[in-house]
Amino acid sequence: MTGKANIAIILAFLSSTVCLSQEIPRIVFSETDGKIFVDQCDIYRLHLLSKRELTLDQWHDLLAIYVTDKNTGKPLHNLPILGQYKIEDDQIHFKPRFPFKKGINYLTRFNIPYFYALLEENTPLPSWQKIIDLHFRIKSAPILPDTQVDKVYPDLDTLPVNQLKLYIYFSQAMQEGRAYDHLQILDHDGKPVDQPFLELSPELWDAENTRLTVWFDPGRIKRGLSPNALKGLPLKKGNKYVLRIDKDWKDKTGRPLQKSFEKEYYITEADRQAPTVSNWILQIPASATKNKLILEFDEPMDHALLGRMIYISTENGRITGKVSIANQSKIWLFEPDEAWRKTSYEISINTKIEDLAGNSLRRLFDTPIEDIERTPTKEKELIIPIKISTKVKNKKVRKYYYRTSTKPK
Amino acid sequence: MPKIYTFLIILSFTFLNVNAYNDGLTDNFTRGKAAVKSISTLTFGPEGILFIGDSKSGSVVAIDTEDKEPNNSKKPFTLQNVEAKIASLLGTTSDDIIIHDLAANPISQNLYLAVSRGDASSVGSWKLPNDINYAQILLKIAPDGHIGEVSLDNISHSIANIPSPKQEGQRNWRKSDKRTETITDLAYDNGKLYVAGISNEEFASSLRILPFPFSDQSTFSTIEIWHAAHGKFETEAPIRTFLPFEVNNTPQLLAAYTCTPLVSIPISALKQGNHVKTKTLAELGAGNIPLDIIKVNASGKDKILIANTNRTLMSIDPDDLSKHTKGLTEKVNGYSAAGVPYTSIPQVGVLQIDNLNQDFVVALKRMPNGSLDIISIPSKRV
Repeated sequence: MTGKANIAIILAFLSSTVCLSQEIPRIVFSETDGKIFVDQCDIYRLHLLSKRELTLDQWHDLLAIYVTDKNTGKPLHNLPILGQYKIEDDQIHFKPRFPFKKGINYLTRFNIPYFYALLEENTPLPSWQKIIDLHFRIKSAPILPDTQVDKVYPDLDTLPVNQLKLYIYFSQAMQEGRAYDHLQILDHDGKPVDQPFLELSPELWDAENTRLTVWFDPGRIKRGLSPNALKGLPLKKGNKYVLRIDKDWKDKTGRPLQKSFEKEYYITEADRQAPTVSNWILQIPASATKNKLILEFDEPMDHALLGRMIYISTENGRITGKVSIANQSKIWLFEPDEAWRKTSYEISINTKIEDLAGNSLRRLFDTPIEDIERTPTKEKELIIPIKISTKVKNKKVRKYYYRTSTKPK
Repeated sequence: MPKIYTFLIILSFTFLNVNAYNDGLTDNFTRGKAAVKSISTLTFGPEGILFIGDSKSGSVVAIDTEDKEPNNSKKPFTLQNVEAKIASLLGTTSDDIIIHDLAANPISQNLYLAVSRGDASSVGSWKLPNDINYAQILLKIAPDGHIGEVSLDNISHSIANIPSPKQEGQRNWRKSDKRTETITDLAYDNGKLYVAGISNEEFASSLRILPFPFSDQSTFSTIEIWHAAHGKFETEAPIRTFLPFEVNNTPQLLAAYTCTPLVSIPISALKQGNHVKTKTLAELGAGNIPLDIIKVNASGKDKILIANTNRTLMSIDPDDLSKHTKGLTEKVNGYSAAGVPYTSIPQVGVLQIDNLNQDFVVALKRMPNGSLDIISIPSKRV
């Protein structure tokens, strides 16, 4: 009984302070976030409301965002836009299911009487407590650009004439479907090369839509195929080309890139050799340290495959750690989570690991049938056994063998 | 008092048993995010279970809509300008909206729509919504016109993978990615989900039978047809739409193909690894893609109803199927039709059809003024 009375007193006190403060709720459309906020609400009531599970219909009655008719400003079809509602930082937030779009008129409607009615309060409402509206439009096209090209692999200055793939890394998720409209190879006169890429549909994006894999047309690269005979290689040896990514390419929220990206490549001899394991160099760290193990290849390797096709194990199974790639994809580094022990380890490498021209240890991308013996192995895995001791060792890879299993122990 | 307790205990056991019986189909369902990459096609099973074919993921997801309130109404379902209404809901205009499929819940008469917000201009005469692989919005429309989203973020569901789908990156003659044809249509019948599409097998066109509730006991067959309008045997093109249907007391699948053969496939032939040669019942006329096929009870008599891209709504009398025992074996020239006859129902622009209730077929129709409407066609008029 006394508890209830206390609550009533507190409520009455709070209502009176709210009435005194006379702060009127305000709707804000944040173009940079693409969200709607309602701030300057009665904080105590907002707190009570945040404890309630509102249905979608209740949210719509409280705060609704509509597409409106260009001429009348009235909601079209009276259907509130789908999105997520939440109460956070003393504000009500609304994030639409899809970004607001340029050229469309929107209206946000906040129903203050309903805000009070939801809490079943009978306190008289101040005169300003009514329905408030905010009409808005996306002004700029559409908002400030924020996304950029982070990196393009290979990050070299020269490429073999039979270069197979490029990887483009963006700082944020991109839209799918229009990649090849914004991607060009320009020759030394600045003229675009005709269809250098295999225009795949759907495009080859990673799960986050931040990395795009682009294939130079393999049909034009592989000798003996009709696109190669008709159009020739997409890039010509001894020439300079510029890869151009134009800034109109839209990110997932519809914004263009911050700026266009250009990278120059000089085209050299074709690479039709598999990587040579005996020319690789290992730097083996000392035991009881967490220093990096370093594997240097005899040529730059495919960046994405390098990142996921090598692991280190002991008898007890695979060890965990951080992988990094350096020196234009020529160096693979592994930093273990736990210090190296004075024992034997194995480096396991998937023999599908490729150089820039798509030559792996298992298969050369473009080989006459009589040269097939030049492929180092048919097995699935290359194993380099190593011994960790108290000394740092720096040496060429001498001992290695191939095996069938690809299963990590 | 003890008597009342005993009564309550018996009562609660009774309810438990009832629940256990009802939940049989969803016993192996889990609650959580249904990882759907693209809603290619929809069909309802029993007890409000909706099957979603997802070509991009190469899987079929069964979701429990929990939409089981019976609706015995015999009224039509109409909603004008549905694209524009969905556009308002998604904060945009109708030129951004593509409706990929429609399924009516036979229990509640609510309609379920697969929708994407993208670029509607990418769909054309030979480019179907099924070729666009980013539909991730499932909407529910009630007979009173209320539209809401069915969130797949936290839903009771079960997933079956479709083995050996086509790799992404190869195009078909319509310049669509072949991967989008992994699942072209689904049909549920008597504990089995039939899945039509293409695989990366030598004969691409395939039919799978998944037992439901899902287990690993699925069967896979490849399908060959005599394509009368092309004058050749074909194994590459997928079935576009199909229907389980008994002909001469034999369970069959009636399957319609692009350009536009209608074939029958005996279900008994769909055994694991079989290559099935079908019977071409009709050539419905070239230059057309069949979009949907359903069985309608028209005043006590079954009719087969087919919606098309470039032809009228067609109605076939099952009695005529039984008469065509031989099937077509010769080339059919031009845009002519041959074999089992059909009646042109005076409806054009019908993109999706489903049975709504005892008296009406519900349809998604592009109207002469360009708007996309949900209309209802009296079953007795087909």
